[in-house]
Amino acid sequence: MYVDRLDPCVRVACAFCAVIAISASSSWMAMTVCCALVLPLVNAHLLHALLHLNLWTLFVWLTLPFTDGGVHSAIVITVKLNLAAIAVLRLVAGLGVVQLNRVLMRARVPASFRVLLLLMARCVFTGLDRIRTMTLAIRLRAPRLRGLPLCRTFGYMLATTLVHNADRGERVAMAMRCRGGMDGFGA
Amino acid sequence: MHVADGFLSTQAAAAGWMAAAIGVAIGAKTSLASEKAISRSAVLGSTFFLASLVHIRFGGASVHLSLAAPLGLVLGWGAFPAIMAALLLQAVLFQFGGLLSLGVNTTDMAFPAVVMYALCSSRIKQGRLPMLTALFAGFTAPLMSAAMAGLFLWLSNPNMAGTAALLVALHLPVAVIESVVTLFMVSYLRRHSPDVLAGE
Repeated sequence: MYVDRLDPCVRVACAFCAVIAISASSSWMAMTVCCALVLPLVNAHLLHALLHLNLWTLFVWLTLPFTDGGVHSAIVITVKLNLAAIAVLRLVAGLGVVQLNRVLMRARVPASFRVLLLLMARCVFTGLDRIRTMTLAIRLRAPRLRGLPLCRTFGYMLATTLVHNADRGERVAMAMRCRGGMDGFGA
Repeated sequence: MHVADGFLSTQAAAAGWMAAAIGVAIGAKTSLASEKAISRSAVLGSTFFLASLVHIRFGGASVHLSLAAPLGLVLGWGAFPAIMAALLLQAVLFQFGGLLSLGVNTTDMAFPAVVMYALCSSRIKQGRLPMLTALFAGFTAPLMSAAMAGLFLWLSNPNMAGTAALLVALHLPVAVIESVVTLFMVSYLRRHSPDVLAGE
C-alpha cells in the first residue's frame, strides 16, 4: 500500500497530525472528515488490535452513560479512540526500531535518549529469553504456586534478574566503548 | 497504566507532554550522563519492561504489574527516560500504545516512581524501617499512577470522574500484590546487591 512506501518521517508527522486533529474535533462534521481520511488505512491485521483496544471503552460505557450527555460523550470517545488507534497503528507501529531512530535523529532528539532506546530494544529481546526461562522454571517446579508464595518467588526472580543484568550493563558499556562509544550508534 | 489516544483532549495531552519533557530532561541529565549510565538504564529498564508483561495469578484473576516503585528505587530520575523509551518500543514493536498519550502515560508511570525514589530510597539504603518503606512504596506507586491517569481523564472530560474513580478502585488489588513483590525484591537486593538500589 502507498503508506508503506512513505518516508518514515512523513509517516510519523502524518500520524501526529491525524491524532491531534481527531482529538481536537468536536463536531460530527469534523469527525466524519477524520473518518473519511483514516478508514481507508484499515486492514485485516488492525482489526484484531482494535478488538483488544476496545476493551478500554468498557470503562467508559460502564460509567459515562449515567452522567449528563454521557451517552453522546461515550460514542464520541469510542469513535475517537478507534480512529486514533488506526492512524497510529497503521502509520507508526510498523516502522521498526531502526527507522524510529532515524526519525528521532532527524527530529534532533538527543543522542543519549536514542542510544537508550536502541540498547533497550536489544536488551528486550535478549532479556525476553531469560524471563521466559525463569517463568517456565517456576511453573514446572511449582505449578500450584498462588498468592503470597507466588509474589515472593516473582519478587526474588525479578531481583536476581536485576543483579545479573546490572553486571551485564557494565559489559554493555565496555562493548560500547570498544565500538567507538556513542558514535558507534551513529549518534 | 495506559491511557489511549482517543480519551485525551489536546490540552490534557499537551500538559502530559510538557511534564514528561521536563522529567526526561532531568532524567537524561542525572542518569544518562555517561555510556556506563546509559547502558545500566537500558539493561535495568528493559528488565522492568519485560517483568511487567508477566501475568501473576492472584485469586481467580490474572494481573500484570506496573512495577513503578521498584523502577524508581533502582533508576531514580532515570525512570522518566526509561519509561518513555519503553512506551515508544511498545508502540513500535508490540503495536500497543499511542502517540498523543505518550506524554501522559510517561508522566503517570514515571512521576510516582520518582516520588517513591525521593521518599523511600535513602530510608531503604540506610536501613531505617526498610521493609515497611518498601511495602509503602509498592502499595502507593500503582495507586498514584492510577490517580494521575484518572486526573488526566478528568481534565479531558469532567464527566469522566466516575471512570477515574473506577480506575483507581480497580488498582487496589494490583497495589496489594505489587507491595508484596516490592517487599521481597527489596529484601533480596539489600542482602545480596545493595549497589543496584539507587540513592545514598
